[in-house]
Amino acid sequence: MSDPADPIRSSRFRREREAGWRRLDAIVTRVERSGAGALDFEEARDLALLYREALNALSVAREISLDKALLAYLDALCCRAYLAVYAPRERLGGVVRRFFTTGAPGAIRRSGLALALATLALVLGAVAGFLLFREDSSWYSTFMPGSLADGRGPASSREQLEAVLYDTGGSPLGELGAFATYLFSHNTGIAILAFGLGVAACLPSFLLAFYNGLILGVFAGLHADRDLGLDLFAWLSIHGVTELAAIVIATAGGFRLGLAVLFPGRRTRRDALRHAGHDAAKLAVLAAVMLVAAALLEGFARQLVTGIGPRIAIGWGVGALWLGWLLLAGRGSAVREDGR
Amino acid sequence: MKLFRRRKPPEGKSRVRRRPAAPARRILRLLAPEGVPLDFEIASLGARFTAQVLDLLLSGVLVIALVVLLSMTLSRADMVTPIPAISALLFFAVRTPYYLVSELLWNGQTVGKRIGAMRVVSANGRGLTTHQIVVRNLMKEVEVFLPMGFLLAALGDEGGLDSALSLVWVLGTLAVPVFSRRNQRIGDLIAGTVVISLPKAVLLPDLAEVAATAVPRFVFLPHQLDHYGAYELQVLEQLLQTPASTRRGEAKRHLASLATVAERIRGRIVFEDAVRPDETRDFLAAFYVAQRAHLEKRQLFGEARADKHYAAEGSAAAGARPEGKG
Repeated sequence: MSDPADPIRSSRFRREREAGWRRLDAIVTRVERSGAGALDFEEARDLALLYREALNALSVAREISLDKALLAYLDALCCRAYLAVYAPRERLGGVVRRFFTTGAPGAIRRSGLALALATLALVLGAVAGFLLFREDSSWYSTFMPGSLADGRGPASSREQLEAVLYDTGGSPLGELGAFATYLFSHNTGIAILAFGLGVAACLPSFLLAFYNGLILGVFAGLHADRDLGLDLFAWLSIHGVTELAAIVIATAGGFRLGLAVLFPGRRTRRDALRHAGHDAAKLAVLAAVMLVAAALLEGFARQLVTGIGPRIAIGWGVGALWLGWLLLAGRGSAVREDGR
Repeated sequence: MKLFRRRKPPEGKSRVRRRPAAPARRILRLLAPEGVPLDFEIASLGARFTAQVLDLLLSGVLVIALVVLLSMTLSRADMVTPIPAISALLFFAVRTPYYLVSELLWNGQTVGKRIGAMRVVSANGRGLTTHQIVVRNLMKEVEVFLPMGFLLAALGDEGGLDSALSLVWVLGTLAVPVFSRRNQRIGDLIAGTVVISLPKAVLLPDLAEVAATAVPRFVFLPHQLDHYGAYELQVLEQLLQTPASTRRGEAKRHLASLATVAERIRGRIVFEDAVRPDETRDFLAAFYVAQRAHLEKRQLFGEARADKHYAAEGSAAAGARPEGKG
């Protein structure tokens, strides 16, 4: 029975295939260390072949062999080879290009309803804030978070407000930088929250956008009251067009998720959420990109450009660029973008 | 080696009870597109936490280095620089993209995961998609960084409610992977991904081949091989595969347990021939080969014997379904 020339069946099975496994092991180790790109043609071809053979051997061995050492080895080898074979075949450049050419614009164009809702929330909030402020200026301190007000309030004079808008009060750039930081993290916080809370049936996102609108409204009310409406408009425009658009887009991403939960249609809720997640993730990434762009505009352009006309022109010009890109890019190839 | 001790099976207890429980490992079973199920070991929470801390440190160091570099060049240019603003912006711009890019390029591994030999895989058995990587890392922003920022800010302001809320949030998100069956955090659950630890493939020599080179002095009769099942066989295999220890005490103990096991087996299968002490290993190896050949043959004929209680099992279950692999 234990004659070396005639070993038992499972030993024979192993003896015939062991060389292939060892080679597969070597190739997989290489892939793990330096990526599939490091393989030459023969190794890549052998990887696919040997992987299938090893999987085959594993399923046979599970039936015929009781050799634990063999089973454990094949199990681990197949797992590693599987991970090497079914790796994402993406190049960073390709991913980025696809996102900017078709992914993000397509997601925007598919999210009309959610975008409209998000804009509505923001505008409603702004109008309500504006009207409330005209009724009673004490609403200002109710809505405005202290740190965001930067010392501006119903008690501020026209000159004080103007000084902030045009940075003429000789306030050092460092202080302003700190404020910009706060504003930036405030807005990213709002955007992330509005996105993340969308899953909870839209309502928290709506409230958050509405509240953000309120802040904007009372702020505008304060400045309009001091006859600085146009100045504020220009001050906000230069970065706000991009920044508010980013917040609206992030909120819309949240709404996409919330709408999937509320109205899953013929899918199950889980499926609907997963499906909507494809677009929502793109919207979130787009919002992040726009927030960074807005921060750059805020940090540099707003401090350097102080004229009303140029501020408005830059702000809305950039806005028009965003709009043009999002509406027009990738129209030809927008056949399907659901897969990933 | 309690397994080989002769012991009356306690009445009315299930087979699972009689066998010592396998060490608790969480397993993710994926069906490869080729139709073969593969078992992955799910990464432990401790390992993931360590990897997370490593990654955080790394991205933090990256940001700090960039900030220092930037401020040095700017201060040379004699500009007053809003360093906090720039560092906040950089941190935001580096943090999530770092995870995204590294997991995309390294097939589900960051530096921390690479050091800890872990990897993100898709729970559906297909390859990991870009979308999954984006979603699981975007959720990290909501799950971890945002409440962490709030918590720090609130602690600074000594705001009571805010910090309490964000503390609850952080604890809640931390609790999810602890209680989820596959140690998934919220982002993993939404993206449909699992973090597994990479298996190590070590091919031990085939005992049947090694034993076959020995002189076939011991011969076993078929009825002597009917006592044990696959489980006992594999425990014996493990015992024989134990590498020879260099430390004298351990080697001695190993020899002693080999001798005990050999005695038990001889008693159980009623093996008449004497086994000299220096032949213990040969005897066990020969028995292993004979037993394995026998069991594998039975398995080929459709009678898998999971362990030594297979006879009772077979009559109790009345052959309801053929038992799977050992």
